[in-house]
Amino acid sequence: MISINIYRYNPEKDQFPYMQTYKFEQPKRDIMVLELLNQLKEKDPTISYRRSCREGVCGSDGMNINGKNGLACITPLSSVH
Amino acid sequence: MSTLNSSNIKTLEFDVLVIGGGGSGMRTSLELAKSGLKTAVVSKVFPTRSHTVSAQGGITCAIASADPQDDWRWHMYDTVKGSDYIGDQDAIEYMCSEGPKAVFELEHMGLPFSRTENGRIYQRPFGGQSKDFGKGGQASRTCAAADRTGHALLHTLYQNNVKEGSNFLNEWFAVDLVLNKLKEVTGVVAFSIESGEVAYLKAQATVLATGGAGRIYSSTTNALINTGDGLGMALRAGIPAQDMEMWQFHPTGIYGAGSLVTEGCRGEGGYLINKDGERFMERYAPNAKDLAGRDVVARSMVLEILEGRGCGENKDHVFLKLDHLGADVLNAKLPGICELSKTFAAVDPVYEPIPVVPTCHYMMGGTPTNIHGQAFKISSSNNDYIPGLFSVGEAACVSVHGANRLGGNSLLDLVVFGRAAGLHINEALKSGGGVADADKDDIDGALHSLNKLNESTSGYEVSSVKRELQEVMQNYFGVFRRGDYMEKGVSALADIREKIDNLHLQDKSAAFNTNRVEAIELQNLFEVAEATAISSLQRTESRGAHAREDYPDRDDENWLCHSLYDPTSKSLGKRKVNFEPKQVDAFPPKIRTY
Repeated sequence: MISINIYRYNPEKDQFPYMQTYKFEQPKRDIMVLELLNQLKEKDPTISYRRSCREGVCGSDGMNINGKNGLACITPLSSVH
Repeated sequence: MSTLNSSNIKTLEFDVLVIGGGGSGMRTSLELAKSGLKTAVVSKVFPTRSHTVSAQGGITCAIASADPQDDWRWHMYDTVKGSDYIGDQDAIEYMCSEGPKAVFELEHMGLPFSRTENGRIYQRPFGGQSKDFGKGGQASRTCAAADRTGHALLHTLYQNNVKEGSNFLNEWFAVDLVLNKLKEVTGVVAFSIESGEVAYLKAQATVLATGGAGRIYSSTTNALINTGDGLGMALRAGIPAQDMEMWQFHPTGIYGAGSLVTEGCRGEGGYLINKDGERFMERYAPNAKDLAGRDVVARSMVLEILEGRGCGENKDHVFLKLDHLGADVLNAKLPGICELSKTFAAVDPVYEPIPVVPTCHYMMGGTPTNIHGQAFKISSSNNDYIPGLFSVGEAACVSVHGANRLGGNSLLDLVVFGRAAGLHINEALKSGGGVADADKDDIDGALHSLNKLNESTSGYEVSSVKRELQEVMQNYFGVFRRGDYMEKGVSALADIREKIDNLHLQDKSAAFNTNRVEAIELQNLFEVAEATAISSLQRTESRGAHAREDYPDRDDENWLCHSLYDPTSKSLGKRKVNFEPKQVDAFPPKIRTY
C-alpha cells in the first residue's frame, strides 16, 4: 500500500484547507498521477480536480506534486514515489 | 439544496449563446462578436482546454501552396469519395470552395503555420487526397503548424475572441435546452462549476458547439471531456440525430493509452508493419497504401491482427515505423509525436516503431443541419428547422463527412461552418428573426433532471455505470459489426437506461462538484450511445466506417441516404443525401477503392 496526501477544501464546510490521506494499492504497472487520481475519485467522488486531454497538451491538470509543479497526466507515479 | 425552479434561479440574457469553446464554437462567437451581437461562449473547461487543442496533423484546404495547380474541386471529389457518397454535395462544395478564405483569415489572425522555404504555408500529404479527381496521384493539401495545428488554431481563435469582446462563461456547464410552447429553443439552464450557481441563460439563438462523444467507447483518442453534451441535450429534447452509426476509428491510437498519433506521420513517409515487418497496406490498398481512407486502413489493421500477424506478446496491435525518416525530420515536423510516444509508449520513434491500434476518434453523425448551422427537426419533408437552434463542428452533421471523414477536414469544417453560422445568425437577428419567451414551466421542465440528481439519496454509482456503458459500446459496436452482436448490445443498453435514470449523486456540495458534472456527462453519453446502437443495427449494409460482417456490401438501392434517428420513438428514418452542388456537376456514386 502507498499513501497519498491530497489537499482538500470545501468552502461550505471547511474553515481551512487540509491534507487528507488515502491508501492505495501499489499498481502493477506504472501509471500516471492523473490515473491514480481518477481511481481514487471512483472511491471518493468528492475529490475534485481539473482534467481534459489526458495527454499533456491542454494544461488542465497542472498541479503541485511533491513540491514540484507539473501535469498529472504525464507525470509517472514512479517518478514521484 | 432546495428544489430549483424558474423563480429561484437568475436569468442571464444574451443575443446568442454558443455552447462549447472549441474551434467551431469560438469561430462562431468570433463572427458574432465582430458583428456587435452580445455573445456568450459557455464552456465547461477554460476554452483553450477544449479538445480542438489536441488536433495534430492539420487543416486540409486547396490553398495551392504545395501545388500551384491545386483545385478545390479535387478536394471536393476526395471528400465525396471519402464520405462513401453520403456526404451532402452542396455542403462539401461550400466547405471546399470557401475553405481558402477561412484558412487565410486564420493566417491573418496570427495562426503560426509552418512555412515552406519561400515563406508560404506548409502543406503535407494526408490520407484520401488526390490530384485531378483521383487520376493525378497523391496530393499535399493539409496545412500544418508542425504537429500542433489544433493547439495553434484554438489559441489564435481565443485571442481574437478576447480582442473582439466575446463574453466567456468559463467553467459553466449547460444542463438542458429550454424550449417554449412553440418548440423554439430559447436558451439553456446551466450552472457555474466553480460556485454551483444555477442560471437560465436566455438567447435569441443557441448554438451547440459541444464536439464529439468518443467517450462512449472505452478506447478512444478523445479527451475526457468529449461526452456529447450538446447532442445529449438535443436528444433529450426530442431533436433528431443523423448518421449516428458512423464512428471513425483512427488507425493510429497509441496501444494501451489511446492517445492519437497523427496521420501526418504516414503523410511524411511513415508506414504500418505487421509482426513480420511487412508493409501490409500494400496488399489492401495498392495505390494509396498507408494513405488510403481511415476506415480502410483501420479495417486492414484489424484483419492483420485477427489473422495472427499482430505484434507484441498478445499479437493485438501493429507498428508504425518512422525511424527511416531520420531524427531531423521527426524533430522538425513531428515533435509532439516524439514526445507522446516517449511518454505513453516508452518508445522513441527515432529508433523504434510505435505500437498502434485502431481507436475511436470521430463522430461523423450529429444534429442534422444545413450549411448555415440551422438544426433540422423531424417533419414530413425532413427539411424544416427548429427556430433558435443551431449546431456546428463535430456536434453537427452538415453533412460534409458522410460515412467517413478525411484527415484534416475536421479543422476545416470547424472554421468554415463556424463562420457560416455566425454570418447567418447575425443577418437573421438583425432582420428581426428571433424566438418568443419561454414560460416558467418551460424553464422548470429543463431543470427536472438536475433536480432529480440533486435530490437522489440512493441509486447507481456514476463511475461503474460509465464503465459498463463503455464496455458495451466497445464490444458490440466497434470496427466490425454483426447483427446478432448488436442486438445483444441494444438490449444491454436498455438495461443500462434504468441505471441512467436512477444515478446516485454522492457529492451534493456546490463548489467545484465534478461528481455532478460527471453524472450529467454520463447521461449525455448514454443518449449518444443509444442513438449509435439503434442506428448501427438498422443500417443493413456496409458503408464507410460502418462495416457489417452480415451485410458486407454497400447497398446504394436502399441506403444511399442519411439515417435519421428519432429519440422520441427510438426509431430510424431516412433523409435524402444532397446531390445538387451549385458550381460543379454532382459526383455520382462509384465503387470506392484506394
